[in-house]
Amino acid sequence: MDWHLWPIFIAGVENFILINTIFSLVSFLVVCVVKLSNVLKNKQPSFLTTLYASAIVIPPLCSTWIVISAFLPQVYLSTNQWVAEHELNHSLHLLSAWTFPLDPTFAYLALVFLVVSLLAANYILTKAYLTVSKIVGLLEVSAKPVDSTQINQTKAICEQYRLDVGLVTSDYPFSFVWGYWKAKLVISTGLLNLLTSSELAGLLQHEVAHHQRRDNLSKWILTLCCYSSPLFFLTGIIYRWWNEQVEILCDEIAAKRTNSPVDIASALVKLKRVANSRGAWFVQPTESAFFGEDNSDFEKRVERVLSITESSLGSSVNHLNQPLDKPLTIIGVSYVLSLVLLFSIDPLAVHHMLETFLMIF
Amino acid sequence: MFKIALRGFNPEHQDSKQVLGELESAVMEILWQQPHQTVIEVEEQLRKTREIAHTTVLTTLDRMHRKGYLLRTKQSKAFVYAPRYSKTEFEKGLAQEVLASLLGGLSESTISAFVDLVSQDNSKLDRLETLIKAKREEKK
Repeated sequence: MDWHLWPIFIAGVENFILINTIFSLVSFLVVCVVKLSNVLKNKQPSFLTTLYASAIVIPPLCSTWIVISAFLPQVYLSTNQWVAEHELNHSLHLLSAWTFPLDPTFAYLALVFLVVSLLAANYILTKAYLTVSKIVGLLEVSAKPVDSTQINQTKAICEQYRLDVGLVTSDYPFSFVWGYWKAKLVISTGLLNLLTSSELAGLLQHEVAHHQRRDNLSKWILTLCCYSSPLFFLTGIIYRWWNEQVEILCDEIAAKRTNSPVDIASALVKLKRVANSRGAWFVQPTESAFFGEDNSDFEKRVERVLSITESSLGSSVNHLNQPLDKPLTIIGVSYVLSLVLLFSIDPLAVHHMLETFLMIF
Repeated sequence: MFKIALRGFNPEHQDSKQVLGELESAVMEILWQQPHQTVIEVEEQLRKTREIAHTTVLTTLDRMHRKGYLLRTKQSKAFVYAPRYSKTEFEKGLAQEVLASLLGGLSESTISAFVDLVSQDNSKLDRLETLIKAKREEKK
């Protein structure tokens, strides 16, 4: 490793943390204002999921872009070129100019935080992913035989949408989609026995919507973005709101595909009733309704499904069911292109612009 | 609340061994077959299948009592041990805890579940069921 680049790298990490913190705070405040204002009272879940996901992704994405565009020229320009181009005070380097008295301790703390938090988030996600994969195969317990029509219905719908199915022989009714890219629907015989055919169709379409939207991959990306900021407790709240809206959105997609929102609502209540009768596995969180999940969230979800009007049923769900591939490609390409364009036209443009902006303060 | 999967869950094993060690699992099997046994009696049962020191049995039973898997009462000068839960209750509880860990907590970020396992007020579920019923009637 070229050690003369180390101070630039450290300054880059420090600036990333500082810029990301400010952007995360601004994002949280914007989302709170939007959530509290009446303007978005009846906003569609598709809009809200985009808003919340953007509020989580934009801070680290923009911070990285700013840091790369401001610091990378220092790496690839020769010393003479750098000195000639960079006439401003060298001690002023973006936001780290404000934390100069605390450096290099602060810079190293920022690096440690970033490395530890991203490693921890990745470790937790990978461990949970592997644990689920092992447990799924071992939940074989004695259970009542299941009606083959329910199994055939499940297979038919999942084959139509190229979703693998794993049937767990268990009387506990549960279903979930697992896997980031190649997803698998895990469904229990207890659930197949509990629901009617039309309720099952609704549930399967809900799970298919998760699969098509690649929601698990989104969860992975958003979790990493959340933990890249020291304000992860605030970004975590936005993540929970996003999660709620995703469930509502998938309910809506399922309702429109099956033309029967009432069956989806019925399946939700039935499963919740069973979860209650099996004993409270999770105690209700004590946070306020604004910041956390509470009893009213489930009620709102069911009421929302029931409120889907006859006129909107059967309409296309393509606009609601946007997979992650397209936005990821667009973001990735525009990210790289904008940097290439910037460095080929004026490598220090962002650097100068930001330093000039910061000097005003 | 007592948790069965105290030590964590080991999916490589089957039944009670998924949460208990080899020896702890053998002790549980003995006490499930015949509850209320003294240390000496449990030791005699264990010696049928393995070489084991008296102190090991003593500390294992004491540890399992402290963990909450066993109940202990004093009769004369000896402690008598019995399982806190029947085998069915134990396995049911274990399945619930494993499912709970699947549908919540750390795994929440890796799966998309239809319904979480957060408890819900039954009276509110009653109200929702009435709404659903009304909606079905309306549809007819």
